[in-house]
Amino acid sequence: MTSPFFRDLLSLAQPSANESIDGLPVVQLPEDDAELLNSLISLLYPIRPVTPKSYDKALNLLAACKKYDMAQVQSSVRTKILSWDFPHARGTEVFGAYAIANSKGLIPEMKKAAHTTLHNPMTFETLGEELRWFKGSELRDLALFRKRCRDRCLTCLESFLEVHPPGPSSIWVGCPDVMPKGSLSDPSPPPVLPRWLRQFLSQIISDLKLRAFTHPLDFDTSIRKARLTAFKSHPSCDFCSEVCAKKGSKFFTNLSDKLKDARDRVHIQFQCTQGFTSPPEVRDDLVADLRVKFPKS
Amino acid sequence: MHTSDEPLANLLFEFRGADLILRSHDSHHFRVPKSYIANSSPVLDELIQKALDPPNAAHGEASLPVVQLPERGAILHKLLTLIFPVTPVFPSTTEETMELLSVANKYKMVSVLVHIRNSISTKRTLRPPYIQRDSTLIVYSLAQTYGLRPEALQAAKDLLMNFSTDIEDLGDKLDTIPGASLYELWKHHKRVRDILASELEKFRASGARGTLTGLHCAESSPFHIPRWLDVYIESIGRDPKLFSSTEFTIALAHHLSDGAKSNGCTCAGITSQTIINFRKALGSVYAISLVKVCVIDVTKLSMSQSLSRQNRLYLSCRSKRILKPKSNRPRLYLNPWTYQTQILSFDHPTSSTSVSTSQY
Repeated sequence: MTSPFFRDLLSLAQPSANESIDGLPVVQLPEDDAELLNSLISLLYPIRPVTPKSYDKALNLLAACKKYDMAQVQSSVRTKILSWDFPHARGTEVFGAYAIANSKGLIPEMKKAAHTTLHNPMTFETLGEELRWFKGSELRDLALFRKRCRDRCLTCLESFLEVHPPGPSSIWVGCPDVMPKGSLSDPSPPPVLPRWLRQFLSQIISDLKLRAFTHPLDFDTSIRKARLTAFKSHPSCDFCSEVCAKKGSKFFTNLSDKLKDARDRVHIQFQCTQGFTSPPEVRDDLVADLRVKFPKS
Repeated sequence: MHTSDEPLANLLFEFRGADLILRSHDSHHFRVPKSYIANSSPVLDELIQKALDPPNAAHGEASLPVVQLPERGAILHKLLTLIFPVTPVFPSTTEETMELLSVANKYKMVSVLVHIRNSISTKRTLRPPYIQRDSTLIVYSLAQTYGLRPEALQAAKDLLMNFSTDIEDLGDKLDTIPGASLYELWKHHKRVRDILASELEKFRASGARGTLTGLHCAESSPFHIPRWLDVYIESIGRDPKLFSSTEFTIALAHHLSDGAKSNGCTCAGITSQTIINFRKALGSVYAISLVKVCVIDVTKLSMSQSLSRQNRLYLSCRSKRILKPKSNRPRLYLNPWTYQTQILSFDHPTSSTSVSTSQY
């Protein structure tokens, strides 16, 4: 009822005597983790579910549900992971969660984990033992994904250097430090952003350019800190103080939101890695194997 | 030494007095006298004994017992040329060499292992290899996978001496080797850098072991050696690639271009003998650091193997209540080939005096 795989299995004939224990047919499953099967079976019956002991075991359980086409159970496990009823990857464990989800073809979990890694630096120090889960091209794919995110963020930041409307930074044009009042010969000086703002944006841009994919792309804190430092260097300008008081908060919130949006719009490209077989193929292989073992009479 | 790409069919063994057939995974038959095989490999000896047991006896077309092996015919052929009194055939590619080593390692063929490793060493001495990052990474990964410690150490050293293996620099090559191998490599390099930095600190504190006496620089470090050399030595701890004659020359050139000569500095007249003495002393610091890392690695390996053995023993004996581990202390086995390293010199990085762990 729960799984097409097991429905197929039940349609097969009874095994011969040497393939049963206590008169019950024995089905050999490829999972080598008894805990995982115990958890899986506990979710099929109206009993207390056996909680996996770690985030990797929870993901393996989800992968087993997917493999055996247990859609309802899979949904239930997914909910339990999201609601933290089942163990969840914490901190840098999210790198391991990404690698496992990638290798098992758990697309939603892989995408979520890939985006969550952006809150951490991606270095050998932070990856640490989580590297053992990366067996194929997952690490390179993650690096490329993070690089694409960084590139999008750079494009977004560069758009904030635009001084002409409707560029979001046009509100800052007019700082007398960089745009002295026009003279008779040149009545309208070219629009320029205040120095402190240009320095603030250029600093973030150069920091991002310095590292292709290892920097975390978590902008809230860095923008707040850099903004305070930059603005402190320009305290006596009435023009900038007024713009800051009236529109500053909205401007920086907009900057932060646009960066997050640019970052979150990037999709990780999924490749079937070595060792991963799509669920229907696995199921067909298993069914074929079982048909040999349990031939129909 | 011979490497061959001849078709395997022309190379199969038909040894006179053969009393056993070794069958490869790809169904090549090698007719050999079993005494040679049994003497060179305790593992194969055991397999042969099992094959000769009447209930298990499998016989080939000529009524000779057959031992089925999981290796390819091409690899088995090369392995046999290293056992029998024939011209040895060595693999022509690095990947195949690693495969051959792993098979010899698996069958515990001690003398064959020495033979192959000697040939690798000779090749490196005669023609120092042009080291490429990606292929060296693959060698490291294969060596890790096959449990070939000396080769893994050599590859790790080659990478450390020649390339940056920062994650950022590996970039789109991050799929060259599995993550677990990358992690081991990173840990190994970190240990080398930490130990090297500490040894170099001692070296600086000793005034470069007195190798720079007679060199009077306008700007000296607190360790009474020219500041530029002190900075250069310290930088090697952060980036071991800088231990090279080129980097030394660049550091000297920078110093001289800063107008050192006009301040009464004698660094421009540094003698070749002083440079030789300095690089030898620095090279020995480098070598000592590598040996120390090896000792730490092997201690960790022994401890983990010891714990793993104890765990297995515990699990197997738990029901019988007979668990009495002899000792918790790991035993350190040092293979002189494995845990020797060379004093490196700027100009001949692959040849020089050996330093063995017995010194420590």
